[in-house]
Amino acid sequence: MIQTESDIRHFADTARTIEAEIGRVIVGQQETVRNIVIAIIAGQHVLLEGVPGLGKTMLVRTLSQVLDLHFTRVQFTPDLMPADITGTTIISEDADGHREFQFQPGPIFTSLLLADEINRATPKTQSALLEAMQEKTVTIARSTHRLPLPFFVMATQNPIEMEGTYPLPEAQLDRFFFKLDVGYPSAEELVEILNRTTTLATQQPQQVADGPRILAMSDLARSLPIATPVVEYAARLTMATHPTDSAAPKEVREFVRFGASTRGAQALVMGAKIRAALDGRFNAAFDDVRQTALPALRHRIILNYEAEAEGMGADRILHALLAQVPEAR
Amino acid sequence: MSAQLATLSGNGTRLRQGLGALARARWLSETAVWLTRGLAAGLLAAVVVLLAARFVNVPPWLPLAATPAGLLSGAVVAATRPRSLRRTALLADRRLDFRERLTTAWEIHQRGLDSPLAAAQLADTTARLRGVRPFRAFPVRLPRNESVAAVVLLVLVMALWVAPNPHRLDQQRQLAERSLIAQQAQAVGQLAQQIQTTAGSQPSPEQASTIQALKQLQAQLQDSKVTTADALSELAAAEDRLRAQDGSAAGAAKDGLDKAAAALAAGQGGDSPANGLGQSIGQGQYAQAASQLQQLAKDAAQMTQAQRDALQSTLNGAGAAAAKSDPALGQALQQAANSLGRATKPGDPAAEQQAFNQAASALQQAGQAVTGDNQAQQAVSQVQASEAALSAAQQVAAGQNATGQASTPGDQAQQVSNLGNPAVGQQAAGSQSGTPSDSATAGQPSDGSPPGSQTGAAGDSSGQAAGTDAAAGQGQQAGQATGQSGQGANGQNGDGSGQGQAGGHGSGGGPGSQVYAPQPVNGHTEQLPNSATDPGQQVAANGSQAPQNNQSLVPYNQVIGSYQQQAAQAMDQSQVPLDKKNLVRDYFSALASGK
Repeated sequence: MIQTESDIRHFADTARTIEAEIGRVIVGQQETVRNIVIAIIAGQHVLLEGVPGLGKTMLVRTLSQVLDLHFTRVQFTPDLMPADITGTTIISEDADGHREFQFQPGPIFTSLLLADEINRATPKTQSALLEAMQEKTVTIARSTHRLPLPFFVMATQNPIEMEGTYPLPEAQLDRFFFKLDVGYPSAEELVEILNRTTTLATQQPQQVADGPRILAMSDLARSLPIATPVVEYAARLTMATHPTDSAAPKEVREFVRFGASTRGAQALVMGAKIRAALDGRFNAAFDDVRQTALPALRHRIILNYEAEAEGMGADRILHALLAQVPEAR
Repeated sequence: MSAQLATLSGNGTRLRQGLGALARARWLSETAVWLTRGLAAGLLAAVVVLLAARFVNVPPWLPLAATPAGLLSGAVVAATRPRSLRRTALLADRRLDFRERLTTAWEIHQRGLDSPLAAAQLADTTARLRGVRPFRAFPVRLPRNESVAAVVLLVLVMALWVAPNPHRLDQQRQLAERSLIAQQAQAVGQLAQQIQTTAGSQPSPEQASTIQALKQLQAQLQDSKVTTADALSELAAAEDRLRAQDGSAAGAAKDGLDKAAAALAAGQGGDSPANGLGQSIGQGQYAQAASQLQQLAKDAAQMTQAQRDALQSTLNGAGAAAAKSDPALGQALQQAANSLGRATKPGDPAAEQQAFNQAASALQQAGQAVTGDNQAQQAVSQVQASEAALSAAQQVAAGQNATGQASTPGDQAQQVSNLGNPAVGQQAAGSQSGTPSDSATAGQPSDGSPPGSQTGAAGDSSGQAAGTDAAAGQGQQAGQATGQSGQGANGQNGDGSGQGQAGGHGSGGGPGSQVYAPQPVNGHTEQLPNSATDPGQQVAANGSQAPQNNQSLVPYNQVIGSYQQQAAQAMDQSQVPLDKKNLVRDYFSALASGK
């Protein structure tokens, strides 16, 4: 595998094309799309949070079309059982009358799983995704089944309907590479959405990449050089999310119960590398880390009651963190 | 593969060269910054030192050294700061917006990474570095905040440097006062030495007492810890001691000698052998007179009878005249005269010689008493002059402390030091100190003599002389005056020998220029209505009238003659210190030549 300047250019071109194709269907949300592309290239999972009707499902569906990935949607409900996701073993009888247990794969055996309204399922069901997300395998009845690669989970959750929901456990949240807030479109974007969706004309995105290409891009991004001060900056940022850290800003000490994990730092560095590659550069920069910080860390810091009482969100704390932690010493 | 390695190596070299150029530019840029910071710090230190110098003693070189020391510190910091190429790369990335390309490339180069992406990164960085001018990343310019601070501090330093320093002024004044005290000690010592030289190996008791008092005073004034107040106290005590010496015998001897001299002068004829004797006594040359008397005894044998008779008669007359005041001298002179009578008969030259020797001895003793008294008077005058100088210095210091005026930092000390030089402030408004019996009104002597018999008694109109026992004058220059107070206008005897001292400035104008010569307002004085304690204290009737509006302001040439006469009289009476006589003479000579 030769990684040269042309590879990087091809990498950036591919990513831009993916974004462009998604943009034919999804109006606006450029930053969300970019972050999803980064997570996809990193081979990681994304948690999308936003009120209903903002195109989250459409976005994921379009992504599967652009990347030509097998797409499965699972609507999470309180009565959804783990086996409904992972699959189960059933007794089957052949023509000779022999009976045997046979594994029946669940919807998780796909390349792109849309876990819609994931927080409506019980923690038990939510946890059924843990192994799949981390190990990309499913173990049922002492039998481990490998998931197809690439494998991505795109989960959505509604932040305003709390009744009948089960907040994702920290272990589950930590497995999401990014948590993306899908916001309302602007007025101009809304006009464009209306124009596109209330006529007979429909936009069909073109496939511009496939699974192997995404895996190759992932390898290329991992090979990108990154200077030690930049890695140290990512580490300092992660450490500073811990209220017990000496470099933690005042906001962290007051409002954070637990800081980001090692996965958070990994997400920072990996996200920075992919951002640099998307920009056609051969190395990651401080600025790449900064731009990755919010989606990579916002779901990894656990706020305390004071933060909730005072309406202090994770993003405000992270902004304070970015303002106060120096890039290099 | 080898081509790739060669490319990698070439890019590494170019990277190192580029970073080296950036590092040099960074060094220059940081040196400018640290020098400016050092300058600001040095100026700040100078400000602190200059402020501290207003309260404590600070070496004068310290404020001057603070700024160079700050600059030097800045230079040392600039020279010793670590300047790694890694750090330079990091800073250059930030300033050139290279997005950590240089830092990454430097690490790749340092680690020797040879992956395709590493090589591409290195090539990309060196390509970008090629067009970069090092001073764009690290411009050599002065930091704004530090520069502004340095300018402000520089202005502050200059202001503090130029502004009068009360602490330093006080020190200079103290130094000048100590110098003045030392001058007075030296003058006192010189006078003691002079008296000792005059007295020879056998000083009279009066002379010995005077010498001892003066030496004691000199020793006290030479004490390095003595202040002006202490010195004044010592001077007053010394003056009391000198005044306490019994001068009655000397007065009688002086009177006897004067009368004898007058009688000798009256009895002298064209060929009188006593010619010169009376003149010597009259001139105060008593030793010479004694020698002449002894010589007369030797010459008597060769005298004609007429000469012997004339001498006998003259000596008899002198003895009779002196006997009332100084019986011993009178008797000795008469015995000498009688011996001449005896010698005319059988002749007894030995008895004649003995009698003349006794007369010479009596004459010498009387002369010694007079000389000793005169020297004691000189000593008193010297002490008074020293007191005047120190008092004036104290007044100048007190006045300037009160008003806080000093045109230049050295003015005050200069004025104090000028007090030791009577040439400065030759005209001074006098403040007279005297006994309560002094009743001089507004400085007007009752005997009608011109006012201000003190040398340098007249000052400018700013001088105040209210006619009380003591009146202080004020002025920009200090002068000193020693003299006699006059008698009160109402006929009360003013016995006090006044000590005039005051500050004042006066420009000696032409003969017609107006000077202040105190006159009683409307020609009379009035008793203070509520002055129960001191009936002798009087004030001018129209006290509200300013002196320059009344008759006290007279043309200069109307009074200078009488002033000169009074000064000459004071010198003749040994009321002016010996070392100041020439000064007084020069003063009047200078005035005369200016006419």
